Amino acid sequence: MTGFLSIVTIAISVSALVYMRATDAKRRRVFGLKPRPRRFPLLVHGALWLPAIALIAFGNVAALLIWMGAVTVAGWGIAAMTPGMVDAASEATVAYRAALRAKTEHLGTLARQAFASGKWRLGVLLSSEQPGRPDDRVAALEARIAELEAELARRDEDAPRPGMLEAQGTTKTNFVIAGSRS
Amino acid sequence: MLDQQRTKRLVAVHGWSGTVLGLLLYAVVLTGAVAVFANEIGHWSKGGGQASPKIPGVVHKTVMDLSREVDPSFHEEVSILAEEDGNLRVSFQRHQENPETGRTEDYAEIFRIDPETGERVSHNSVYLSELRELDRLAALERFLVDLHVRLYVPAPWGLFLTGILGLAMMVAAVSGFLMHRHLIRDIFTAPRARGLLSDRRDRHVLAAAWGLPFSILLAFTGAFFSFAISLGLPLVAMVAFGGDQQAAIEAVLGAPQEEQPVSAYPASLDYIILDSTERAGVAPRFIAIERFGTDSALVSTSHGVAEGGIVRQTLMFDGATRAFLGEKPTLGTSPSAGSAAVSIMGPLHFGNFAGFASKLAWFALGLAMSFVIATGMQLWVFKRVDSAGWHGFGRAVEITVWGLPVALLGCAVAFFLTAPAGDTYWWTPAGFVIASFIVIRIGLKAANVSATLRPIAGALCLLLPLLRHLTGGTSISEAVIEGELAVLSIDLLLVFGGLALLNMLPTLRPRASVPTPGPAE
Amino acid sequence: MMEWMRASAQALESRAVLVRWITAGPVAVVLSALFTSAMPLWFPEGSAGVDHIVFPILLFPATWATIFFYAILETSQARSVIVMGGATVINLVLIAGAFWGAGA
Repeated sequence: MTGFLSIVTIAISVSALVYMRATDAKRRRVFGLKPRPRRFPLLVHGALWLPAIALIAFGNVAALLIWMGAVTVAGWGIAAMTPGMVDAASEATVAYRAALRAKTEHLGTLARQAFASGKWRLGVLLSSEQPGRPDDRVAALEARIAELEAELARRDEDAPRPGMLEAQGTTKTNFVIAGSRS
Repeated sequence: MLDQQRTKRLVAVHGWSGTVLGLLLYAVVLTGAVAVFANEIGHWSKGGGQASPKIPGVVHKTVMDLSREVDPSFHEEVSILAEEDGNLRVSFQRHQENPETGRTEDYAEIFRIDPETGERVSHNSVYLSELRELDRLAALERFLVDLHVRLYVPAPWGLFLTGILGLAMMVAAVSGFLMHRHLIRDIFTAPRARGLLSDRRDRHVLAAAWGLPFSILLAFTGAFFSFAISLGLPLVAMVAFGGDQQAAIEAVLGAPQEEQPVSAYPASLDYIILDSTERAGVAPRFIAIERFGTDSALVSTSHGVAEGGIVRQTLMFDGATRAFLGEKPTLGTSPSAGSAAVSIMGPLHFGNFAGFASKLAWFALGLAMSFVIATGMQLWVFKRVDSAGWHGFGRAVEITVWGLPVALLGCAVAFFLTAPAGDTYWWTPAGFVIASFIVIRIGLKAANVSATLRPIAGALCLLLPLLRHLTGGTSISEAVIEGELAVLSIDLLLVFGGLALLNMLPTLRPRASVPTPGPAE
Repeated sequence: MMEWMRASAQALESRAVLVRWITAGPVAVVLSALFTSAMPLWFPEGSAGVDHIVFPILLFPATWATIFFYAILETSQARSVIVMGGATVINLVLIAGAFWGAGA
C-alpha cells in the first residue's frame, strides 16, 4: 500500500512539475521562448501539493517521506533539462510511440492472419517475413512523418520572433535577445 | 531582505565552510549515499538473504532445550534473532570481564539453528564485541558504514569530525538559502551555455535549491547521531547528574531491576509470538528475554515497521504470565515526546522505513547532495582559475570527486577477491587504501583528471557483478529464481552506473536550432 | 559611565572582523555547550521523565547553528557581545547554581 500510494502521489506531483516547467515565466524568458500563460494555476498547485496533504490525512508518514524525497530529486531533474533537451526527449517519445504502434499493429495483423488461416503455430507469429507487412510499414512511416511535421509546426510557433519580442520587450533578457537577433 | 554586508559575510561563510571541509564532506555524503544500501550490499556480497526475516511461530521448545544446555548464569538475558540467511540465532548471555579489554562485557553462548529441521548449524562462545568478526562476508558493508560514520578515524575523534561536517553542511545549506534571493523564481531555470561560469553556478544552485530541505534534514540528523553520545550526553550528564553518565543513561533507559527474582516457569514464547504478531501486524524479528526463568522475566518483541509508519515497534510481555504490558518506548518506561523525537531520527537519516522504495529515494538524495558539494567546490576553483595558488586545490577536488568512487569500487574488488579464502576485514580497507594511492598517482599526472578517472570508475562498476559471479556469488539465474531482489538490483544499478560513466547510455542532445539563451542575470 | 560604554562599543566596532571571528568561532562553541548543559535544569521533564535530557542532546546541532548564524548576521558588535556574553553568564549561573545546590 505504501509503495502504491507513493507511486500515485509522486506521479501526480511530477506531472504538475512538468506542466509548471512548461509554463514557467522566468525559464521561458531566459531561453527566449514565447510566453505561455499558466492555465488554472490554483489547480496546478493543487496537483503539486494535494498528494502530500492527502498522505498526511491518511497518516501514511512513510509514503509522505518517499514523496518528499522523490519529488525533490525528480524536480531537480525536470528543472535541469534545457528546452532543447525537452524537445529531444519528446521527439524520442514520439518516435518510440510510433515504433511501438507499428509493432503492435503488425502483431495484430499477424494474429488476425494466423487466426483466419487457422495456423496456430508459434513460428508464424515470430517469423519476420509476412505478407501484408510492407503496407503496414508504409502506414507507420506516414503516421510518423505526420507527427514530426506537426511537431515542427508547433516548434516554429514557439520560436521567438524579433518583432514579437520587441513588442513586449520590457525585461532585460528579452531586450538583449531581441538586440542580438537584429 | 539582507543588506550587502550581511550577504557578503554569508557568501564568505558559505564558500569557506565548503572549501575547508568540502572534500571530507563529499566523502561522508557519498559514502552515506552508498551506505543507505548497506544491508542490500551485505546481501549482495554474500549472495543473498531475506530483506525482512521473521521468527517462525514455533520456537519455545528449541529455546527451552538449549537453556538447559548452558550454565544458568547465562540466563541473565536470552535473545532470539531471525537472521538474514534464514537461520535462527539463539543466544544466552551474561556480563563478565573481558581479559583483553579489561571491561565488563556481554559474553554469550550463541547457537544457530535451522528453524525447518531444528538442526544445530553452529555453536560459539564469544564476547558480543567480537561477534561481528565471525561473519567474514559482512566486511564490505561494515567498512562502508564505518567510513561514513567516522571516516575510519579512531573514537571519539571520528564522531567529532563527522559531527562537525554535519554542522558545516547545515551552515552551507542555510547560508546558501539566505544568500540566494530568487530561489523560487529560478526553480525551473535550467543551466545555460555550457562551460561558462554562469553555467557552473546555475548547476550548483539549481541542484542545491531542490535539495535544500533534505540537505538540512540529513545534516541535522547526521550531526545528532555523531554528537549525541560523544558530546551531548556527557554535557547533559555533567550538570544534571553531577558528571555521572551512567546515572544519565539509567534515567533515560530505566534502571536495572534491584529485587531478587524468584524462579518461575517461562510463559510460552509461541503464544507471545502469536499475540505480538496480532498486535503489531508483523511477526517479530527479534525477541529478548531479561531474567529468563524468573517471576520478573520480561519479554520484549521487536517488529518491523507497520504499514505506513516509519518507526519500528517493540512490545513488552510478562515473561512468567505472558500478559501484554504495552508498547516499549525507545527511551524511558512510558511514552513521551522525547522518546518519539529520538525514534524518528534513525528512519529520517537512514531512509530504511519502507524497504527498497524509501532506500532508493534516500540513495538518490545522497547522490544529489554529493553533486551539490562537488559542483560547489568546482565553482569555487573555477572562479579562482587565474590564481596559481588554487590550482593544487582544484586538482585535489577533481581527484576526490572522481577518485573516491574508484576507491570505493576498489575496496569491493578487494573484498570479492579475498572473499573465498582471505581475511576480508583486513583486505577490504586495504583495497580502499591501495585504490586511493593508485587514484592519487594517476590524478596527479593526468592532464584531465575527470576524463581519466571516470572511465575507470565505469569499468569497475561493470567488473564488480562479473567478479561477484566468478568468486562464487549467486548467479543471475539463481537470484531470479530465488527472488533475491538485493542481488539483482545492485547488479543492475552497477551495470547502469557503469554504462553511464562510460557514456554508453543514450543521452538527450539538444538540437542546434534552439534559440540562443540570454546571458545570466 | 556613558563615555566609557561608548568608547568600548567603538573599540568593538573598529575591530569588527576580529570580534566576529571570536563570537562566531570559540564563543559560539562554548555558549552552545553551556546552553546544552544548562537546558535540563529548566526544560520540562515530560510524562516519562526523559524529555529534559533528550531534547538538549537532540537540539544541540540546531543550538549551535542558531548561535553561529546570530553571530554572523548581527550588525552591531556591541550588541552581539552583550547578547552572547549575557547568555553565557546566565547559563553559567544556572550551572553553578546546580552544582552549589547539589553540594549544599
